[in-house]
Amino acid sequence: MKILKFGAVWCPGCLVMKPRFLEIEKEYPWLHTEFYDCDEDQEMFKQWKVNDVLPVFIFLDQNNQEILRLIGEQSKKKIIDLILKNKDK
Amino acid sequence: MKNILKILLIISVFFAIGFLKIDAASKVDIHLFYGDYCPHCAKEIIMLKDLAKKDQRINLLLYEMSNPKNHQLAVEMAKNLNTTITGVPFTVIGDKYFTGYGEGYNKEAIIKAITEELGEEIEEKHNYKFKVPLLGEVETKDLSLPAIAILMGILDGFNPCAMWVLLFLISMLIGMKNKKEMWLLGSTFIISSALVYALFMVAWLNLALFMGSLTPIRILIALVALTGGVINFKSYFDKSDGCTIIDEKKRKKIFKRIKKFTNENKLLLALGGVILLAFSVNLIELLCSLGLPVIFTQILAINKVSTFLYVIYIFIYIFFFMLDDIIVFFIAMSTLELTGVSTKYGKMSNIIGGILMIIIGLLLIFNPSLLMFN
Repeated sequence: MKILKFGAVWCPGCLVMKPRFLEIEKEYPWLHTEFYDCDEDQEMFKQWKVNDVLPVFIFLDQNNQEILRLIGEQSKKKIIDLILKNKDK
Repeated sequence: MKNILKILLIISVFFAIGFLKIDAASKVDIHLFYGDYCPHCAKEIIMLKDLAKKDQRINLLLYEMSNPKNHQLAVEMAKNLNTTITGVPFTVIGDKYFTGYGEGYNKEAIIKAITEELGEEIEEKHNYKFKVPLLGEVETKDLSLPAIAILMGILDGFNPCAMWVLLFLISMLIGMKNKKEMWLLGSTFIISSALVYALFMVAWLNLALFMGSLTPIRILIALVALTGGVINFKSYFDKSDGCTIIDEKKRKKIFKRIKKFTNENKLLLALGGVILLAFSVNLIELLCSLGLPVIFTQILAINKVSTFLYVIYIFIYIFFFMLDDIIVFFIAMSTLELTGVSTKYGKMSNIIGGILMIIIGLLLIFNPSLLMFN
């Protein structure tokens, strides 16, 4: 499983999520995440149809198919629960 | 649901500070019908205002008789008291009425009527004074306007319209080699933003003082408040906890300007760029604030305080409006790491601001005297 993180340097919600994800990535080193910036990675934003609200977190399975997407600020607990639930997909 | 209950509690506490003077059990309403050019009326108004200032249970209601509605009310009140109006001032206290006013004529009788209605002597203790370290004695009514300034300033500050520009500016500043210049450019942006707001609020206050007593203007501001309140409510229920993606064209235009002056070798040109940016961004922010500064200055205008106090209250509003920006800026400049303010606060400000604006809007239409704290 992989998580695509979409954010921007000018988005307060994305900045709030940054340290939260850093903690998660430390606690689950096997977790694979990729970050895309709204001003620098516009192709990825178009490809994954991220065009309304930030931050967006897209959970992908081993075939790079979207399992679920979270939009906006999320609690650490909710993200961890979803990671553990989907880790084998 | 829990959040909404908390919010309602906060708003009730805020209004309790403002309206503590309303003590229904023991208050007395004094209805005074007067004429603008009547010297006896002016003397009685001064005397009664002094009493009302001493004891907050005294509620002085003034009616200028050239207003047909006030005239009609006076006729009806007189009719209920089985009398007719033969001149002004015409004073009604409970079931007693007085025509005319004079020191040795009926002043004592008027005071006696008030005392009888209160059931006890007129006392300053009902002014709700308490001691605050450093400030000395403070009256609760004196807290109302600062409390409103703080609350409305904070609510306006969480409006995210200009925050994205500040965050992008900080992200560029963090990369600068000259740290002194980094601090200077960032603080110039914040001070200039505050200045734009102050200029707008002072201009609007002057306009409100000039035209504020006109009913259509008051109703217009009330409609702005009600519309803003509804939009805030809608935003609370519509938006998810996130940041709306700003239009790409607009974003690129602003980023280009920021990059230009952060790469500028001449400090004066860079400072000019920051000031211009702050002015243009905050003018847009004013539209985005859904009328909060306009409503606040209208409340100030209704309260008719001294010029010095107008300046102080506007300063308090702007300080709290800028507080989140100042905190984010100082943390980023000190740690060289960008920090965000949770969008949850923005949502909270939507619901609190929505309720507050609707209450103020309704008061401006139906009972503006409840917004007069002095």
